[in-house]
Amino acid sequence: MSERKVLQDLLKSITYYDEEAASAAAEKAVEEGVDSIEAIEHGVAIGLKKIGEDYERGEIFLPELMMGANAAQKALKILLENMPQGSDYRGQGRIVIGTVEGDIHDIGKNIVAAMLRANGFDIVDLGVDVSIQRFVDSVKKFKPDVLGMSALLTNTMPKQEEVIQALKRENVRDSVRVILGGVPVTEEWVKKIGADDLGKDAMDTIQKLKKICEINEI
Amino acid sequence: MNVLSNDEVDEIYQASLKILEETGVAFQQEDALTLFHKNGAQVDFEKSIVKFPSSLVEDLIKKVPKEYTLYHRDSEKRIDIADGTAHFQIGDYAGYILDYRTGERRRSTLKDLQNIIRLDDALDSFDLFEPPVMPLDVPSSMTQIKVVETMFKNTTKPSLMGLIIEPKEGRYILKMAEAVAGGEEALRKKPLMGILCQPTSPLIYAKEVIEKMNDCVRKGVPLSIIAAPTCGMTAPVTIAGWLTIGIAEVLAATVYAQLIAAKTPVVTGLATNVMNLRDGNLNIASPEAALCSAASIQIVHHLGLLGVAQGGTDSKIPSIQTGYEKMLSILYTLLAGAEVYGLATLDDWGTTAMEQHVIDAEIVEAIKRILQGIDVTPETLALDVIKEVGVGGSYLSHKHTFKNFRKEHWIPELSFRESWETLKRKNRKTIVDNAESKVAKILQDHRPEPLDKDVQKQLETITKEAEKELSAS
Repeated sequence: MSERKVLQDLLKSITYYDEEAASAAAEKAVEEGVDSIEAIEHGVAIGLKKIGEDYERGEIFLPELMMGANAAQKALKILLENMPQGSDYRGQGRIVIGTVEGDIHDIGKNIVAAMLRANGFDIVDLGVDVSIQRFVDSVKKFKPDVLGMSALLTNTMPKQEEVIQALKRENVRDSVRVILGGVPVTEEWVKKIGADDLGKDAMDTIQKLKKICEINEI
Repeated sequence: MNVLSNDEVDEIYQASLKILEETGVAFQQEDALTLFHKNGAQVDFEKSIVKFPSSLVEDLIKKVPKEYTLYHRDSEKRIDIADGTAHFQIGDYAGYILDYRTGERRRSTLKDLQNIIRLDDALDSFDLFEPPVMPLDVPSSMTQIKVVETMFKNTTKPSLMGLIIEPKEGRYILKMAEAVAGGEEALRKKPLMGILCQPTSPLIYAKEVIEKMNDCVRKGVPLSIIAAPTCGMTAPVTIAGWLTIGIAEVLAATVYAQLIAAKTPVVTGLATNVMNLRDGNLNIASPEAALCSAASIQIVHHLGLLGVAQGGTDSKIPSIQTGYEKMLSILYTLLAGAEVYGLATLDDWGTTAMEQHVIDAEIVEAIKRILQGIDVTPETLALDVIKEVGVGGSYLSHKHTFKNFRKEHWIPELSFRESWETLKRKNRKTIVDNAESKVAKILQDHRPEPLDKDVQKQLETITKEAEKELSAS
């Protein structure tokens, strides 16, 4: 099988929202010895870009976007496991994202994560009820451009502040931009606790992240 | 009007029982789990999940009263929540208010809350009270208590839902209700509010909700058990699945209420909302929501329960979209026979505008007229009159017309029915212009029935106590 065909299959598995096909195509790529970065950039990323554009044009809807992002995730997992030692894939930028401790709401965060993936960002999703220490450890380990913290309850919002304090204590606050999300979170809160920005909704978050990551590249 | 066939109603009910029996519902409170366990439910204490034997559900829903009464705060006027009669309320508990004239949308304040409660008090279309906006200029620990204090001071109408969010503020709110009713026993005999109990979909009743239910049921306060699973997000994307999980959630809390105290009055239903498949926003107005809402009423009625429904518009401003979405959601559900209907004014419960309150009052009047139906009697058939007027005559100056026109015809106050010429003469463009004048007039003229001075003082004392305790915590 030619490399071109492998890349085509990867791309198609995403635009057909087909998780199984995505895994199969990624395994094939590894088997055929296609360079993982090449497979991601010329296969997965192009598929993601296509569904991201279709979504923005209103041609496809959230369930399709989510399923496409899931398919891409399957392929990425396999390809990243087979990366040559020392190489690092960060896409448009790396984002560590999670819902704070005591909060199990993840619908908004999942939509944001899927849309960010569709826009080519490398997402490390820590899930829900994420402890302060886990946020700090993940910033150290993954060295993200941005840390995104979601809180849907007014009584879990203070955890966002505690994470920022912990980042400062462990001297990593300056290495990362902190964006907050969640229905009760306001601009005032962002300022008050010393975060960098507010993602009002998924589209707003994407636009802000694109700006941040462009700046980081320069 | 029936949305579902009898077989479909039964199929959905049986499917709900299956969810309760096989998947179960989480009740995140120790005592509730013990109570369920004692009564024969299968309880996983570690995961807080209760699995209900169908027989338990069927036995307990039979204990729910078929009707109950809420009282105005002066306890003279009563509202019978009973089979078939529709009652309306309006309120979004919104965080924003829209100034229609300037287009400005801003955070709502205590002053807005006072004004809108006074406005709604004057609108006879609304039988019940629901909080219109949050007073966001008071400390967040006091928002809910301030809402209730302001309500008692500015309207006599009873409230059916939406008043207590957290149990710790709820205890003060119950104290206020007792002060207004004239003591604990008086409140039990003549309840002037019901309390909203809502699951966290899918299939969770949080600790706070259970504790709030316990407190209220023990004081004889009726419950409004309303599930709001979001179609496509916290419920299946298919209408039947969405409906079924919603009914299961409602039945779980209904059963629990009867376990705490048999014969606790409840109304049941769904606040139907759908995930916007474009951006994940939560929408309350759609043909699917109307279908689900009407079907849920049909099912709870089949089970002998009283039905409540809610609806409104996704539109952000008073507009053509607002009008068509409201009529679609409200009328369709009301034709299925809900006992209580809660209107949201604008923006999926997010924003309100005073003009929309008076327009909605008019929409409700039109719907009430439809629900009255057609009166067929010798007087309304008017055979004698037809004979008398004969071929080619006129009915306008006939006594029969004079006698019957007000009874038979609803005459709107705000909607335009006049000619182009009149429209030009009055220099008005849309219904909203008329609504604006009506709002101004009510705010200027309407004085709600004042609350007894002593009771007012008691409320202020309770508010101060609450301030002390809640702002400290």
